Amino acid sequence: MKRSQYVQLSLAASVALAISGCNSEPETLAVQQKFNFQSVQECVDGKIAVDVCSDAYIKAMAEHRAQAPVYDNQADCDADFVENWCQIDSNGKFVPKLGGFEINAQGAFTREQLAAAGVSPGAGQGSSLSSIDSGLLTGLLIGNLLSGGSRNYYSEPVYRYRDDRGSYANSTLNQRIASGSTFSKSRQAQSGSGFRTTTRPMSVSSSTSRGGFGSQASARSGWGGSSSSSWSSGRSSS
Amino acid sequence: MKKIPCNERPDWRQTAEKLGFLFHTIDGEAYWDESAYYQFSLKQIEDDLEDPTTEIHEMCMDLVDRVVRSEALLDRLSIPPAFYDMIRTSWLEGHPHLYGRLDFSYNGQGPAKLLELNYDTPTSLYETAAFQWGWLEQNIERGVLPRHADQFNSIDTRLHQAFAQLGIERPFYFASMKDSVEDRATTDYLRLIAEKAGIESRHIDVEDIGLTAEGRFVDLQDRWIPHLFKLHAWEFIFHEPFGAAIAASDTQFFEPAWKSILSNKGILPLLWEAHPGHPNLLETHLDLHPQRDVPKGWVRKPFFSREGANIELRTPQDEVVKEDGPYTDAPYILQSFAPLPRFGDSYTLIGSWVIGDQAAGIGVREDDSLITKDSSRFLPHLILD
Repeated sequence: MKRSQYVQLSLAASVALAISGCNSEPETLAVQQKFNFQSVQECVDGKIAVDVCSDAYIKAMAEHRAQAPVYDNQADCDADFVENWCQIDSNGKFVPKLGGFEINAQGAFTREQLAAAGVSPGAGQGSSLSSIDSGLLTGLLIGNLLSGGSRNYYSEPVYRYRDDRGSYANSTLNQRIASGSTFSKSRQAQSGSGFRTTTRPMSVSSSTSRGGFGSQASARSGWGGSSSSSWSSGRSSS
Repeated sequence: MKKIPCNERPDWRQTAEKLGFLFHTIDGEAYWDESAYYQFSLKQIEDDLEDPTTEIHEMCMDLVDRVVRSEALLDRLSIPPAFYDMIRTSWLEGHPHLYGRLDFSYNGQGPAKLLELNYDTPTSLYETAAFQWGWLEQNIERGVLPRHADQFNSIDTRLHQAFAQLGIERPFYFASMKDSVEDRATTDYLRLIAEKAGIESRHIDVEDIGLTAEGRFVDLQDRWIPHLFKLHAWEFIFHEPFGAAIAASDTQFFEPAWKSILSNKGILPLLWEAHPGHPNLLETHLDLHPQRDVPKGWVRKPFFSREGANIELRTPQDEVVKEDGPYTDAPYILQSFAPLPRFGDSYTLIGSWVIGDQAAGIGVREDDSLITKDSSRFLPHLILD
């Protein structure tokens, strides 16, 4: 006999597997929001879990020790921050005091979850919402901070400084750099090609990239033949 | 080899849908067509299709071994130099492969002529291996066809053996392009077989595969993809952003990278050069003047093309048949014209499958034109002497 003795004909078995299994992911929208605190207590008062607050503080402190700008004299340090804000470190150099920490919370929610929280992104909103000033969304993100552990947020040190108009403000080093500060008198800037931070978001969503496969086939699909149809146009194979 | 009209099973559409074979009809036109079947003698199957398939497969394996060792030959196949090492390594380390399909022009007499190889992303697998098999079994059971009718179709059995031999213990991911029902049927069918072999299988859409900062391929939940069957051609991957990350990744790819050598029509002139005058091969050359008209009695094909796209032929009687398409950015070959045999109003093509390294069965497709396209119909066959 030149044919198989028995063949399992039903593809439906694996289709059912796909529907009940964990690989039918509902579409989610990415949301992020920043929370800025001067102390762990202020963070806890903001209804964020104490474990998250203290972890965020410790991480910000570690970042601060690793990458805060270091100056040879107080005047240069004060000029980049606030008068009498800088301290002498154990090497006799001047560094700004840690002024607090910023939690960058991230989450991915289904439309159902967002709707349940009262947020209703429009269809044209795309797949990402950011910095939406919504107390409802904040509640959702704060809940998410606890359930996802450290995968759902990262924290950065915050420093006090005087902005262009001389007002006092709090900001992360990355935000200062983004708005034009170069910290040019710092030892880091003097010794190399400029002052940089090394803060890397630890969140899953930003360290995994997607969509790097499939673009070539998509570019060639939809080629009109007399028989092209919605499903055959996506064919990549033969 | 005869085409024999036959009553359709009255309930075949319900059966197909119940089984999950959802693309039996495309845009209201039949894809699965059991209003007739092809009948072969055992001698035709064994001497004219099975043996040549095995022989050509071995010739191809020998050729891969030569090509991976020669940068000149890799260059002739338009493979980007950045991937030479990965392809060579995949071959020299013996990365296993699962399947391939040879397309033949064959009319029942004389040698079958190889038109092309689909060795990287062949489809029509489910309808060949399973639905066609069910058609024969049911018609025998219902007394429509004689008990001693047979079919050249051990594809399913051979696939079980091939998966069992892989010895895979971690999850095996099967990827197809989003929105392609046909591609998904192929990967779902392979998943079924993998599961039977005791392998945990998971589906992922090609577009959803993730790459971590550490260079590891992951699924939507950022879980590692240790083994990946990708129904997505290597020649596309070579030009996509993640292509460069494969060599350093810890994911095992199916089909392996060396299949890119055989899925490329540039292999056909090399086969002819290695075996000039072989009865199952058509004279084929690189097309050095693709801007000129196709000469009489020749066919122009791009190195990379699917579903008949961008193929142009001129019959000895000066009739031109041409399919447009998107594959205009690669070199071309010129292949001696071997007309597909005509049965009634249709032109017939034989797809002959290799599973592991063995000839395993055939599927017959018909088209209204000399170029077989994605609008072609699939007809069942049987062996009866």
